[in-house]
Amino acid sequence: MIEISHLVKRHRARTVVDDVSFTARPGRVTGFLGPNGAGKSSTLRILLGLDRATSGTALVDGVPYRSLDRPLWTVGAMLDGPGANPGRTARSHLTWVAQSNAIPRRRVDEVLDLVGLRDAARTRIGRFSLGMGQRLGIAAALLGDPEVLVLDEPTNGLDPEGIRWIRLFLRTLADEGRTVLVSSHLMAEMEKTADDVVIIAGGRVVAAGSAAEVRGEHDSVEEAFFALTDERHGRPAGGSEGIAP
Amino acid sequence: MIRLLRTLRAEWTKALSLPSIIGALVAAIVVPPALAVASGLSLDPTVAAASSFPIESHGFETAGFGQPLVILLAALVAGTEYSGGQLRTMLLADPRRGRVLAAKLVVVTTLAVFVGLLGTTAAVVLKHATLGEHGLSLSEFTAGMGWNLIGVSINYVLIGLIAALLTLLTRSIVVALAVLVPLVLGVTLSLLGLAPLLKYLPDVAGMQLLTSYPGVGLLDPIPGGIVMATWTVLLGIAGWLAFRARDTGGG
Repeated sequence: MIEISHLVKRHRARTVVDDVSFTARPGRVTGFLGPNGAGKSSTLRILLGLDRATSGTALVDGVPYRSLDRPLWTVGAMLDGPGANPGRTARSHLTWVAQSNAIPRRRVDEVLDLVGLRDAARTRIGRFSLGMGQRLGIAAALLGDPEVLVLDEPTNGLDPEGIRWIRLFLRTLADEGRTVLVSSHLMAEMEKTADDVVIIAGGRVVAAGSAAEVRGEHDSVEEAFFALTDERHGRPAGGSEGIAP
Repeated sequence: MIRLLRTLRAEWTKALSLPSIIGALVAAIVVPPALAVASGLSLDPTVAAASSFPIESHGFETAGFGQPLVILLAALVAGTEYSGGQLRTMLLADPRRGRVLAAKLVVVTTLAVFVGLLGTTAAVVLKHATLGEHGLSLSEFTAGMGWNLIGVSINYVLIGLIAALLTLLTRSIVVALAVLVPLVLGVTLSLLGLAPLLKYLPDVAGMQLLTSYPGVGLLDPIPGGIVMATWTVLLGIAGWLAFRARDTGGG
């Protein structure tokens, strides 16, 4: 369970996260959607203790990330790729991550199997394709078999097959009862995966609820998004051309 | 405490699973003894015996050449964190930044002690071996030489910590190397005659921990070591404050 409440992040005069509140529940894939620069990554970084909030709270199972003793047993995360030094092999990267949280060594091979990287275990990460890198990031997120997963743009740069793999994988994880929060700027793509949707634009949540609720009378979540942001900007609803808030 | 040990274990695996770090480590251990052998073989023994060079100092003169390699080693241990966004993964694994920093500095300290003891001992033993009858045999080694060995290790630890902290502060291996390597290779030493205050700079202050440089006007080993340690502590405080306050999202 992830609870974000009245979260604000300011960089000097610029407000990048503006009173954001939402909840991501167990057993569901929550899509955190919005255009690039909407404040998705900033929100997730605060949730994961990497940045500090100006005000508000972001809690995982009721506590801030920084107060977790062995966080990887509770939360698995991938932000902006695998976060791995390119000089290391996949296995040694996962090994040090496991050691840092006293995760048994055998989990390294288990997660390599899970994401289909077993054959690349001894390959240097610098030689990985984009898709392999994303898989490595997901493998690291799964090391502690966490109940909560936070993935920032996991499909970025992937080919259709890779996107399909991630989509099915997220579905499986949620069906196992986990909380899955996944951000994307590609709304059409996430609509097929997400049970719940939170739409953010210009640092503010513009819509939240089940995918059906957010869609409303529109044909798709994307259409609903454009309608919502058009209203906010005082333009007539319905047109979807040239929107890049 | 157990939490620190876990982070430390991860740091060890990190340090010992990157080819660049292993390369720097091997070079730092091997280069001083190799130079000692070369200088021992090229020295005319009769001149060596007659010269004013103290016999106990043989081998230690190569310790200065280990310094830039210790700096490289420490800068790599700290700086590879910023490659590929690894620091983000580290802070997800352990969100307590003080602990992450402490573990890093413990690894740098341990590696520097290891390099100092192993490389310098090898350099001294090999130098005397190549000097043959003009050198000392193992049983003739003195307590003073033992203290010198400890002095080299302390110097390596301090210069290593300074390099690691500078890398952390600037988030750049290149900056740390560009600042420190010319210093330890003698830039400040050559200016000492013009500006005697330069002897308080971190690289110059602890120089006589390596071996004696008579007549240059350097600080004695112990006061020099204290000055160098003070620099290290100040940089440590600056590094801790910067590392604690920084948002890590992008890096």
